[in-house]
Amino acid sequence: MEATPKKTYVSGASMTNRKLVVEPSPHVTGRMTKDLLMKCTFVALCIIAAVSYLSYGFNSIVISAISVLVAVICDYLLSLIMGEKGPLNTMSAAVFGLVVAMSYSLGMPTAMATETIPTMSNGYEPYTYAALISAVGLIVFKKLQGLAGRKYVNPAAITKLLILGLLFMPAISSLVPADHGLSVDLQNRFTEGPFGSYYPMETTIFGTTLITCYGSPSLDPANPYTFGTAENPLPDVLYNLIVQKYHGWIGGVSSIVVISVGICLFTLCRGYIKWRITLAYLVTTVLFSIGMGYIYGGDIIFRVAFHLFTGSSIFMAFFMATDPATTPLPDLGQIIFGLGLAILTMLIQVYMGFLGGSILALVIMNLTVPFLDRVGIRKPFGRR
Amino acid sequence: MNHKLALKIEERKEKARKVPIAVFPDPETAVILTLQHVGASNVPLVSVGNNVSIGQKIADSEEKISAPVHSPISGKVVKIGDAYNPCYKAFSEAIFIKNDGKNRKDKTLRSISESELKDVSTAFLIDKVREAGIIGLGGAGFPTHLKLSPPSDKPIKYLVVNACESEIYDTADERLLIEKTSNILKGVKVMRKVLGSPEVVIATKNNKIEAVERLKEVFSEEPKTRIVAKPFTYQQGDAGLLQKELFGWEVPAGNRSYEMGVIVHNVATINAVAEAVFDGDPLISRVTTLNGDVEEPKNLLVKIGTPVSQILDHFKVDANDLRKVVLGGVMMGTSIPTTETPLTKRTSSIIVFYKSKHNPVKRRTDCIRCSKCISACPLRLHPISILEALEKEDIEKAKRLYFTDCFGCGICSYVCPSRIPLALTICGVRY
Repeated sequence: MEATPKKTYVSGASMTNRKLVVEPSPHVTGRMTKDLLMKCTFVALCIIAAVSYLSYGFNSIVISAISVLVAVICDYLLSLIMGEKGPLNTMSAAVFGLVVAMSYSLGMPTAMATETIPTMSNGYEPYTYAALISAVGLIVFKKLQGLAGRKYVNPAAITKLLILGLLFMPAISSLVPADHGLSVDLQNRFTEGPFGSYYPMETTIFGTTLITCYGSPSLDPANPYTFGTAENPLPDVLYNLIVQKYHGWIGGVSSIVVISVGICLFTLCRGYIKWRITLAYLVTTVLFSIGMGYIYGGDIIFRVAFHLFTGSSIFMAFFMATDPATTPLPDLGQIIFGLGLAILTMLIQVYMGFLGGSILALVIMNLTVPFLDRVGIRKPFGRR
Repeated sequence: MNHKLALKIEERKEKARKVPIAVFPDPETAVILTLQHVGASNVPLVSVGNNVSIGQKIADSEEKISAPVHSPISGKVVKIGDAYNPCYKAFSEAIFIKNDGKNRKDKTLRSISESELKDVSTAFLIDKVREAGIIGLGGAGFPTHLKLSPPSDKPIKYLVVNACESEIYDTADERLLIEKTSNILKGVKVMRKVLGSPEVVIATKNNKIEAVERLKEVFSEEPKTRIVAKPFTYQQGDAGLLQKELFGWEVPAGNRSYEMGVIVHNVATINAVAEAVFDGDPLISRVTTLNGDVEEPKNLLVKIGTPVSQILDHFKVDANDLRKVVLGGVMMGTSIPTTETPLTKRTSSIIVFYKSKHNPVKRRTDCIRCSKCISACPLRLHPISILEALEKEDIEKAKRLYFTDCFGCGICSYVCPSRIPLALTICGVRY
C-alpha cells in the first residue's frame, strides 16, 4: 500500500498569471469582534441574573428571560423590515434585553411596600412592564437612534425613565420611575446642615433603620439582626449592602458579585471597555461621601457604604455607564463623565430624596457626551 | 503607555526563524521595475534587443531623489512594458530580460578591500552607495545615499541599526543578523566613516535569541556600540517611535530624523551597503521570507525581478487553493492582483493565504465607539474621529485632527471590533 502525501500538488494548475484576491492591509485582524464583546458581556450579566435567584427567587429569572426574548424577537423582526439598514444583531439585542431586566426593581425597601409600585405583589405587572421596556427600548432607542448615526442616550435607561416615570405614573410629576422610591426617610430623622436637611447617619440609628428598611423581608421586624445587634448593626449593614440585597434592581443584587464579575469582564476584554468611567465614578463617590460626612457629621464608613452600595448604582457604574455607544471617546472625557455621573447621582439622591437617581444622572450625562468628545483630544506624536 | 500593555501582536515566526537562507535559482525572465524607490522616475538606459550582463545599470535618473536599477541576470532585453508595481499599487514601466544562462558579470564593477576603507573619501562611498542603487530595504524605499549625506550643520550623534523586524511573519532580517553578522559589521563601519563616527545603537527584539547572541559576539570589539534587545512592540519598528523608545524624544512632526542627530537604517540596507562597497555588487538580490499558510516557510536570497509565480511554483504552492498573496508583510504590505508581479527591492516577505485556511473577514458594521483605536494609535491620533470627519468630507476637521501624520501602521484596523477599515480610509485620502 502506498502512502498518499498529505497535500497533493496539482500539476495541471500552473501559477502563471493567476488572478488573486486584493484586500487592504492589514491582512490580519485581532481576535476581538463586536460579537465576542457582546457574548462576554452577556455571560457576565447571566452570572448576575443567576445570583439574583437567591434574593428574588424564580421571578428574576423569568423577567430576565422575557426581556431577552422580547428584545431578540424585536431585533429579528426589525431586521426583516429594515433590511440593510438594520442588520440582525442578536447578541447585542440579547445584552440589551438583559440590561433592561437587570435595571428593573423587584425588591423594595419594606418602608415603601405600601406605595403603588409594580413589584411582584401586584401580580404579573413586572413581566409586562419589562417586556414593554425591552420592546420600546430596542425599537425606538436602539434601532431608530442608531439610524440617526449615533446613540445619544443609553437605550435601557431612557426607556425605563419614560415608561415607568412619565407614561405610567402621571401622578408623580417627576422623572422618578415607578419602581423607585421617591423618598425613603430613615425614620424621619433629619438633621439640618449647611445645604439643607439630611439623614444624620449616626451609627446605631442609621444602621438600625437601614436594616429594618432594607433587610431581608423574611426577617422578624422586631429583631432583624442576623450578625449584629441593635447596638452594633455594622455587620448586618455591611452584609446587606455588600453581599446580598433584597432591594433595588435585579442587577444590584450583590455588590460583591457585580464588582468581581465586572472586573473579570474588564480584564478579559481589556481595552475595549471604558473602565475609566467606572473608576472615576467609584473614586468620586467615595470622596464625595467622605466630604459630606465632614459637613453633616455621622459615621464615615456608613456613609461611604451607603452611597456606594445602597440600591443598584454599582451595577450602573459597571454595566450601564460603560456602554461604549453613549460615552465619550477620549480618556479625559471618560474620566469627566464618570466624575459628573457620580456627583449628579449623589446630588439627586441626597437633595431630591430620589433614591435611584443614578438612572436620571446617567441620561443627563449621556447628553453631555457630544461635548465631552472634544475634551482631552491628545496632541499627536511630535506635536507637543 | 497603555498601548504597550494592550497590544502584543502575536508573532508567527517560530518555524521561519530557524530556516537558513537558501539561494533561489535565477528567473527565466526577470521583470525589473524601473521605479522601486521613493522619488523621481527612472529612464531605461537599454532598449529591446540589447544584451545585458549581471549588475549592469539598466535605468537611472538625473534627479536628486532617485536610485538606479540593475540587471540581476545576464541576457537579452525582450520587452519594455508595464508590470504590476507593488510599491505603488499600480502598473508601471518594467524591463523584461530573458536569461541566457551565461552569467556574464558586468566588468565595470569594482570593489575595495577592508584595509582601503580608511583611505577612501566619503564622497566616494556615498557615490558607491548611489551607483549600487541602494534604497531603504525595510520597506520605505528612500534612497540611502541621501540619508548618508545630511546637511553639514546637523552633526549625527547616533546611527540606529533597525533590526526590530516587527512584521509578524517576516524573518529575513533575523536570518541576516545570524548569517551575515560580519557583513553587517562591515556595513556599520562604512556608515560610521560617512557619518563622522556616531555612536551605533543596534535595536532588535529580545525574542531573536540567536541573532542577539551573534551580534554580541561579532560587535564585541567595535567601540561605541550598544546592542539594545528589548520586547519592542509592533509599531516601534517605525523610525520615529523607535527613537522615542531608545532616546526618549519625539521627532517633531514633519522633521526628518537627522534634525535630531539620528540616522536610522534597516539592517538589510546596511548589509547591502557592505556588499556594494566590499564586494562590488549592486543591489540585485535580497533576502525575503516566504511564509503564511505554506507548510514549510523559507528564507530566500532571490534576484530582484523574479516573478512571484516562479517562487510559488518552485515550492509547489497549490495554485487552485491560492487566495491571496501579500508582499512586504501582512500589516503594511500590499495584496497583489496577479502572480506575475515581480519582486522589488522593498519586498521583505511573500505571505501566502490559502482558500482552505482562510477565515472570511467579517463585514464592516457600525462603530460601537469602544475607543480602542484611540488608545491603540502609537501616534496618539483619533482614528475614528478622523474617519467620521473624512466620511462627511470634512477635510478641514480631519486636518485639525492631524490625519496627515498617520504612517499607516494599520493597528487601528487590526484592533477594531467592528472591522472598520480605518487605516485604509485615512491613508487612502492622504495619498
